[in-house]
Amino acid sequence: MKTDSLNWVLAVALGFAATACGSASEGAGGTGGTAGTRGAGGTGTVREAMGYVIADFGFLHPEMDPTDFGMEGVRGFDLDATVSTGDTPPCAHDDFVAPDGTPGIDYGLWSFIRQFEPMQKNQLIDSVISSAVKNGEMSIVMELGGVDDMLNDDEVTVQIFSTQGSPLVGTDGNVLPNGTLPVHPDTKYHSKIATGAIEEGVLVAGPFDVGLKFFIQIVDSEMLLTDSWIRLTLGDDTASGVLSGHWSVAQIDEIIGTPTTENGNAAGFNYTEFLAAMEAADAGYDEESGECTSFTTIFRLEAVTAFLTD
Amino acid sequence: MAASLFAVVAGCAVAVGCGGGDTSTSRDAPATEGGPVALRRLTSQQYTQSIHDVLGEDIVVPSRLEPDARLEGLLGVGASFVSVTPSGFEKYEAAATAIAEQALGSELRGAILSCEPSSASGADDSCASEFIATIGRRLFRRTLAEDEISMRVAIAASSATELGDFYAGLELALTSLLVSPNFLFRVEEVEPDPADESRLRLTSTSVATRLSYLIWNSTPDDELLDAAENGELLNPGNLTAQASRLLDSPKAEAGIRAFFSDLLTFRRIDEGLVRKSPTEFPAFTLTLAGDAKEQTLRTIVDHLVTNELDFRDLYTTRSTFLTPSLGSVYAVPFRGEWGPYEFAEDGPRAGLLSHVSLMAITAHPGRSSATLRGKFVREILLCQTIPDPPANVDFSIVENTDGELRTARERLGEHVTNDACAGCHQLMDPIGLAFENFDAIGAYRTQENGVDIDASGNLDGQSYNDAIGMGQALRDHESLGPCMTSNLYRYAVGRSPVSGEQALLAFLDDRFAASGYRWGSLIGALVLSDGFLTASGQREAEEAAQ
Repeated sequence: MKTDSLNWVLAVALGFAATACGSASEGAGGTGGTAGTRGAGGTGTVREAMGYVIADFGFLHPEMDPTDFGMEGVRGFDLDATVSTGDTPPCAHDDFVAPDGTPGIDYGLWSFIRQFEPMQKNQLIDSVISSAVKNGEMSIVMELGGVDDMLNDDEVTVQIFSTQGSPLVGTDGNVLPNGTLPVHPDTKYHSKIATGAIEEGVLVAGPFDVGLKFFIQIVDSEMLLTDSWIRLTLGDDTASGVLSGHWSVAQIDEIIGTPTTENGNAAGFNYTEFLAAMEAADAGYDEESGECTSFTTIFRLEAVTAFLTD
Repeated sequence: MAASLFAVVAGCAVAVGCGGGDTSTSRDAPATEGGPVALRRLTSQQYTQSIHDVLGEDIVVPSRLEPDARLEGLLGVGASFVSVTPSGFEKYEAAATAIAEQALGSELRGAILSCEPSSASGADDSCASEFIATIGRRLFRRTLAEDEISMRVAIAASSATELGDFYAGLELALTSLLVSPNFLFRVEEVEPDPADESRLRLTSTSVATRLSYLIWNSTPDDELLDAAENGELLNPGNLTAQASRLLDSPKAEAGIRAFFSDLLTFRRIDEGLVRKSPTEFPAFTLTLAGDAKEQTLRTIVDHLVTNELDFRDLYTTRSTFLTPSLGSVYAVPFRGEWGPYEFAEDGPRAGLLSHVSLMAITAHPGRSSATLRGKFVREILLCQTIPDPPANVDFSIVENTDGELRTARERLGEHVTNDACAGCHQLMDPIGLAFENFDAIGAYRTQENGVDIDASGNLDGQSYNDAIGMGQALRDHESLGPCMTSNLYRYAVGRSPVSGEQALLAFLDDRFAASGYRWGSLIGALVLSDGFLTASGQREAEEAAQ
């Protein structure tokens, strides 16, 4: 099923206009650029911007696609604006190179991820995170604002939210487009609004801080990525790409490392090895302690269109 | 809804004074003689609804019953022509045992057992007799004869003594009621009409059963049975009063749902027979299928019963009900539980035929089908007959969606160059092509294989550009109202009209039209008609004797 993106924008705009004018309409959208009307028992105002729900999410595994993400072609960001090497203090680390040859791509967490089997592609943690965005344990929605042209637009915005809703999942196990999801009522889980542009169908925006709420199995926590950037390739009713930012060592420890049972972490980590690996943090230098307090991180994401409500 | 029915009756009384002691069933309707009566096996839905009404909503009714049969487009007609096979009887017996066990289990029996046995560990003929007579009357839809009660009291007593458990004994008695033909079949009985001994009319209890299953899709309640057994239903005024009471009951919704579920072949959704390719149409989940059916039924009930609107506008209305899963397919925002929704005025959807339910039913697993959709409209909504295709038809052209012929219109256009196919396809395809903007699950599309879809066409002289226009043409079609009258009539009496009933159907349709196509008026006129209240058994017997 394909949605005409421009019609979609028009549809939402019409719905917004109706709402803004005090109409009883709570709905918006509809294929063909039309606005429908929700009856009694309203479930929130439909937000005006283009909505997406994250359909797949997880750590970027550089080896997962040698063409796009090979070790010599990590499609991330140069977060520290420095082409770093392993002997460049503080927080010395080797950078990656983007597929187009751009150096300085930061992904310090990869040195950590590669050491632990449960974090490898399709292993326990990768699978759990991938499932969590589909089953409501860590559902994420995203909004693109100011989009006049899906191919080239020099001023757009991006905002990411947690949602307490669960995406609709189809018979193929994938998230369905055009579901309706509320943004999280707690603005703590609304990212800052990132500004950016679309160039030849690729949106880049940042920096912004992204706070995500999740309750995965027994882990009830949140994740904060600071100074993040996002890059999305926009399709008719899809968006895919990466979200890269800084993730604090303390939060990673709390979420992934801390033993949750008497026998250790549910993922089977050896905590001593875990702590040792955390020494490789590549960002967030704290002058007072002399420690690097965060990892640069890249998450891959795929999204499909959705209606977002307040 | 009863208001419309009262309007019919009031008009009737003023015109011909049909109240009071007049037991004639024909007023300003054309005098006619109903067709043959039948043993009508309860459909699985009627079985379940009857059990819930008599023994409680908490009873879990086993789903494995003798399959229903669709005949002449309706399960309601097929029920008049089926029996119970040996394997079917085993299913009914297993179901009866399971139901009796639940009904008389410690948790639920208090709701249906009005007496306390003198001992829980032995027989109590008095209490058992009271239970069997009370429950049996609802199940058999008439008062049980003494021997029907005493036989089951004996079963209950011997079993209770043997098992040392009063309730276990009563379970066997209840089981015997539930496997009786008197429960499994609606037995329609006739008697000579005192006003004209040459005619046969249904007995008052048979009228009660017809009325109850038409309006509630379930067994009569005690009040209706009381009226029936007092002979009150042979009086049009009393019959009208009871019909109005039934229509005003919340249970009437089940009746209209059952009729439209039957007519629109929603049983296919219930039985999982509407399947879609999981890779091409991943949105067609079990949840969506169930919601789609419910959407259409809610729309019908809201339109015909709650708002008492013109039946024909069901094919143009933008008012409906949605869930989030439906909202996803319709590409409109919708959160929460079921709620009303108004499709946009300038949007592509209006009427039942733009619903996911009917678009999915009338499509193949992997693609839409203009032919199936056209056939559905012609046969089910306009009561026209489309012959089966010849056995040697080459369907490869229409099935090849990846070939040079990119759209359904192109493929069907090629297909009808075959003279053997052209006659019927020219009746069906122009209608179905109007819905080509809806794919096999009813999602909107503007193109097929990269080519713009042309949904224009003509329905028996009325042109349209798209599904909206097609809905309007259907709404205005001269056969739409008469076809619905005929469908409801066949559903009510369990058979197709017989010779001589066409005038009655025309009368009923006139009444339907005169009321502005209000559903209650059609029901009211129908239940007071000779077709509903009389039978042709005498004539048939005479014909057979000759």
